[in-house]
Amino acid sequence: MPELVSIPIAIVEIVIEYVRPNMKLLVDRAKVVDQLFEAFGPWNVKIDDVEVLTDGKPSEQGVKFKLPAKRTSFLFGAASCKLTRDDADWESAEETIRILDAGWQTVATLGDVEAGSYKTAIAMHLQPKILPSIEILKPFLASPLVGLSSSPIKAVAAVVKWDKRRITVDGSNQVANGVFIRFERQFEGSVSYDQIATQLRADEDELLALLDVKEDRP
Amino acid sequence: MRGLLDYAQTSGNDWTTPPGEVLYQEPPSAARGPSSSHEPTDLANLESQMARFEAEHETMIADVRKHFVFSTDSDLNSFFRSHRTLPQLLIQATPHLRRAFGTGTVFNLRAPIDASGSQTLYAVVMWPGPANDARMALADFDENWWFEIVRQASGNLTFTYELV
Repeated sequence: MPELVSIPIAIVEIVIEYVRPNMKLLVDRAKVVDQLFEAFGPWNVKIDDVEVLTDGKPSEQGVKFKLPAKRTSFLFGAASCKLTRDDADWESAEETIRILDAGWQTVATLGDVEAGSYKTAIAMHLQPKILPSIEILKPFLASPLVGLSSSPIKAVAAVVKWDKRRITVDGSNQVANGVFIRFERQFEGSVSYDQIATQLRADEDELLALLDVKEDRP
Repeated sequence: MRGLLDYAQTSGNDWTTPPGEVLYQEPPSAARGPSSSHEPTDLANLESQMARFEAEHETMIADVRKHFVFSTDSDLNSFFRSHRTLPQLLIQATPHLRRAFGTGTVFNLRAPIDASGSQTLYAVVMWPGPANDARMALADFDENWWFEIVRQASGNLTFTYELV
């Protein structure tokens, strides 16, 4: 029987990489910023929620809009834009897509860019109430390593990477007795939001089943 | 158990930053008398102090989450909002609990409402071993730390165990 877990932290990230970077989005972006402010109006964006990022490489710089009521941010730069939502769940997925679409349509239209690929990631902290989290992670131990010592195992982590997919399983450093999972998948720029959501949902179900856990909701 | 990999496990967004908009604003029509220029600094900074206090509280709750499993049955965030000293006490208790019960033990938090309508916070040790070992460990925890501190909780916090 699956172990019941709560999910106190869940984060979704969606990065849209443009087919070609547009440097105008870095140096001449006043109109885009102004229109994004309008586009995010329904989510009560305020002037202090807008942050200009000037640190790092040019590909990391841009303008970030925060929507505190939705714990969501949208960052656009010269090569990509990125939506991040904390406290994500599938009930709020449609709203998350609406926020992403409002931001992306504005950037794509005014910035004259096209989606080349979607890089998506969902990170979760799973918290079993009774079972020590290490017991959930033990099946992921590399068996040749286990025999190297007879003392109890304190922590386990695993990362597997494929061409357009990656899964990380680790102990949580944010919640007590927690398991951290992160599953990433890359999609072509031509796929729909619904296709992405359906695939990510399937990935989540598959991984939770593999861990033999089930979300316990109040 | 902590994370092994050097990997960001958070979004990087800080949602505890005090809001830009103040909670109370004087109406523009309100006349400011001559005494307003002598307003005590503490009062003038009240909004920023409240926001900072709230951010500190949120940070402390996040720290408590790193040591205790929050029950989904009770609204612990609301309970902590009305019992502001308890998060600090729980963080102080953590090394003493680990010493008494072992580092791999799971500690749960629950705040059920009893028949009379009052609410108490229970820090529950999920104990997989014999009951007698749990009793001895709890006695050790009580005698070596909790009994000296217990008054600070004003009767709102109880440490106990549950056999699993």
